[in-house]
Parts: sequence; C-alpha cells; structure tokens
Amino acid sequence: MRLIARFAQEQEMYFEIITVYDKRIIKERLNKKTPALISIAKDYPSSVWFERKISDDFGIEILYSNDARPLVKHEYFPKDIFPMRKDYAKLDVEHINSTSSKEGNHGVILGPTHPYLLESSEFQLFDKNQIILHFEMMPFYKYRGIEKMIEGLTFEEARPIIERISASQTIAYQYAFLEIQLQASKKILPEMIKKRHIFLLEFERVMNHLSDLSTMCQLVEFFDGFFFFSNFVEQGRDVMKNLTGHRFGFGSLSVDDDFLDLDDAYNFLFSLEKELLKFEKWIETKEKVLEKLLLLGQISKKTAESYGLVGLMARSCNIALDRRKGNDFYEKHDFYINLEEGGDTFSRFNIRITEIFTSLRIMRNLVKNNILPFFLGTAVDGEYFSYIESSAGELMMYISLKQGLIDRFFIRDPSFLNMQILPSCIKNSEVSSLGLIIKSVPLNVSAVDL
Amino acid sequence: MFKLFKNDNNWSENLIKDAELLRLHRLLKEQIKENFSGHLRFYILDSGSCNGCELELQALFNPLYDVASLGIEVVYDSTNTDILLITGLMTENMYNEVKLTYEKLKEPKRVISIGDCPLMKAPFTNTFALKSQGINIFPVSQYIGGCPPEPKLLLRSLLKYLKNL
Repeated sequence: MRLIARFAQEQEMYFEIITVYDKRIIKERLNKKTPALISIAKDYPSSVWFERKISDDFGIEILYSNDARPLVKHEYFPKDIFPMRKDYAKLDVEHINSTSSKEGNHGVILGPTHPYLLESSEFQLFDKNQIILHFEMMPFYKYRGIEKMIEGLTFEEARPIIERISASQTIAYQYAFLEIQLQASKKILPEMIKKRHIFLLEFERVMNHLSDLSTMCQLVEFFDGFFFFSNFVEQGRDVMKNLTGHRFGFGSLSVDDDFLDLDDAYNFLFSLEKELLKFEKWIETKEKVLEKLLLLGQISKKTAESYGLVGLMARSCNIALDRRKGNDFYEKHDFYINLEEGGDTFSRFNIRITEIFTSLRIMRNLVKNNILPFFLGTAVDGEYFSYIESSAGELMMYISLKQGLIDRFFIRDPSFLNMQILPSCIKNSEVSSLGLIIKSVPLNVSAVDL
Repeated sequence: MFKLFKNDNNWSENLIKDAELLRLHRLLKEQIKENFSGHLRFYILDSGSCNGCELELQALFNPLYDVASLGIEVVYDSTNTDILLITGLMTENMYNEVKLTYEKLKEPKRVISIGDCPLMKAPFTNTFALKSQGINIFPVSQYIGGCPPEPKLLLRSLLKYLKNL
C-alpha cells in the first residue's frame, strides 16, 4: 500500500489518527491523558514528517520513531503549546528568546533568503571539498497556522483563504476544495463546468512546468532556453488574467462564471505547441546542456516508491502514478500517462516538456460551452476527502464538517512528500549543482509550511 | 539568479513593450542613475507569503520587464542591499528573521512592503502563528498593495518611491 497522508484530529473524548493509504483509510483512537502513537516510519519513511507534525500539533508522543525532533515548532516556539488542540485558542503566542539552538553546528546554514528558492526556507549543508555529504531542509519556516485559521469557518468564509495557500497552485487548491463542497452537498458537477475547470487546472500545470523549465535552463546557463520559457510564462500569465480576471487565477473556480476570452487562450496554446515542437528538436543539438542535467540528483525507482513520491517526481522514476490515470473524464479527453526512466534531473526536465504536450492535447479537447446555472446547495456534516493531480503531483485535502462549520482542515501538498527526498538525491553531488537539483524538484514551500 | 543575458533567437518577439512600459523603463533608469549610481540592489524577504508576490517580483526580470537592464539586481546579503522588499504575512516564525535583517540594513534603512498580506489586508484571519500588526512593527518607506501586485504596478510604485527620495 502507498502512504498518502497521516494526520490527527481532536474529538471530544479522544485523539483520532487518520492514516490514508491508496487502498484504505485507517483510523486509530488515542486516549487524551497520555496519547502515544506507534510510528510506521520503518515501513513508510515519509511518515516521519507526518508523525513529527502530529507530535508538534497535538502533543502526541511518537513511539519507536527514529526522528523525534520538532518539525512545525521552531526554536522560538514554546515547547508546551500544542496549537491544534481545541482548547488552544490564543491569538498571540509569546515566542521564547532562545539562545540559538544552531550553536555547535558546523554545517552551512542557507536561508531564509537564498538563490535556490524564491520563498523563505532554510537548508543545512555539510560539504567536504565541494561535495555535499549531508543536506537537510527545514520545513514550516514561515508557518502561518492555516489549518487552525480555517477551523470554525463556513465553506464560503474558508474559500478565499484556501485559494491563497499557494499562488502557483491556486487552481488545484480551489479544485480540491470544490470537490469537497460537491461531496458535502451531494451534487455532481455538470460536465460543461467541469470542462472549464479542468481546462484551468491543465493551464496551471503548463504554467508551472514552463516556469520550472525556465529556471532550470537558467541554472545550466542555457540562456536561450531561459528566454524561450520565460517569455511563454509571461504571455501565459496575461492569458490567465484574460480568462479569469487574475494572473494566477485567484477566485476563478466558481460554478457559474464563463471564460472571458477563450480565443486568446487558444492562440497562446497553439503558438506554444508549435514553438515547443521546434524547441524539442533544437535542444537535442545542445549536448553540453543535456550533459549538465544527466545523472544529476538521481533517485532510484525503489527509493521513490519507499518515500511515496508523487507527481512528476514519481513519473520520472518510471512509476505510473497520476490521479488522471483511470479517470473517465481524462481518458475521454485523450490523456495518457507520461513516464521517464532515469530518475535524474534530465528526466525531470524531459517529463515536464512531454507533460506540457499532454496538457495541451487535453485542453484542445475541452471546447467552449455555454454554462448553465448550477448551485451547490446545503452542505451536509461529515468527513470529506479529495484528491487532485496538481502540477506538482497528488494533492490531498480533508475537511471534517460539524454543524455547517469546518472542524478540521488538513492538506497534504505533493511537496510534503517530494521535499523529503532532497537529502537523498543531493547527497554526494557537487555544491555547484545544488540549485539545479533543488529546482528540478517541484517544491511549493508555502503549501508545506501552511 | 535573476541576471539575464542577451540571446540570439527571437523568442521575445511576442512580448511587446507598450508605451507605458517604455516610459517606466526610461524614468526608472534615470532615477537609478541619479540615486544609486546606476546600480540598485534588492534583498527580498518572504515573511509568510503564498509565493504570488515572489513570482511577480521574479517576472520583473523576464525579457518583457527586464529590470536587470535598468541596473536592478537581487542580492542575498542584507548588509549589501539598498532596499529591503518584504512580502507576505508577518509570521511569528519569521519575525525574528525580519528583525535581524532590518537591524543589519545599512543607513538609510529603506523598506518596501509588497502586497496586501504585510498590511493584514488579504483574506487571512489572525492566528497564533501571526503578528496581528503585520509589517507595521517595522518602519516602512513605501507600501505597494495588491494580491499580488502586478509587475507594472510594482514598477509604477517603485518609480514613485525613487522620485521622492
């Protein structure tokens, strides 16, 4: 079984641990007095971060864990506060004036601002003769408390927050949230509206892949490639604005709006497809560029499976994992999965290009239709899960609704799993290639840090 | 990371600088020459953003907005910057980093707040993880609103700020 997520929520009499696998969901109850949870890290290495988060959020002891360090709570955060417990309602946490816990650490600390990621994040690096011996990434660096922020809100109140968790994946987040709203109101989205939403989801995928490709080209000093992709990113943002009224698509997945200018979007997509075909042939002649990508940051299929990698991180290791696969709607619109075998930066570069072609093909099939009125209706209390294939991989959203209000909100962004592979794929690489390896992994810090 | 080089192909032909952008470029170049000897260094600090503001700041360095040609550069050492740009909500975790960065700025300390989040005007509500005052804990020289502010708005606001120096 593949581990998708593991998280906790507080019920009146007990803590509940929900472990989501691809084939089943397991729920465990822990007493509130001395809550302790047996780690599954031995079988599922990626569970370590989930369990460390459970421990920080709820004060639940993790038994038989090989890593009991705090994950969410950083050095200044009071150790005796467990912010996700229901009885914790304070708005101001007095952070402690810690004497730096980084003392005695002989590695290099990069962050919060560094050239490798746009967002604030911290890396710890140990190297010898410019070869990286150990690498670690510190998540929750800019922890906003989004999960707690959403508790107690109605769906309508939560929507603008959820769509702003991560700008580059806003459509995927809106789509996952809408799926939950549909489940809660026992409705099925009309096909015509679904077509519009999938169009936007695929558009977002294309934009993020183009943006990643542009940065990767820049880092291998292939500036023609950088110009090529960044031009399309800029044009694409304007097209997204014409489609949705916003350059990233905030507030765009309502159930009753129509596109603003689809002709403009099609012109952009056709031009992108035409030019990308030329680019594909052209880059084959750039042997020096390709050499810089080959065998860099390599991950084996076995490692990828054991870490539960998702999205293009899995597909570039020849693992046929894509939420669109087997989905009737996608199959009907000419989807087939793209795979690469190398598991290296080169594979992650290539698969982004082939996935852009796949998205373009799907979008071409999603023709414009007039949107008929559709209403979501009243949401029924219950537990709801949604799974969306975002540009970075499988995105899971969970909402527990009680008396019409959100009682527990949990997100497992693809980056939460994919980020954990960084130490393995960076180890033994040269320091100079650090940026390229990091940028080859689709990372979304704001969606992990929440 | 953002430095651009000239290319041989015509990939830029679809990106046309309109009259306003050409004007902004000309005036910004003049201001940067006058106030910063033609070389303006930004240090960008995300104190809890959704990455929208960072992506729009990154867009300033694409071939259309091309602010590198105006002498603008992003640096990763706050002691060596002319202007500190702050994006995002002011989180408790990041507050100490912002404070340290602010203290390290050379005089005159110039801080520009980017987007609605630092002003707590975005739709986020307050939590234990946020400073409810937002960026107002620190002296700010210029506020640029928007969620996120688009590249042209960033350029217009920067010009306005530089003109008042």
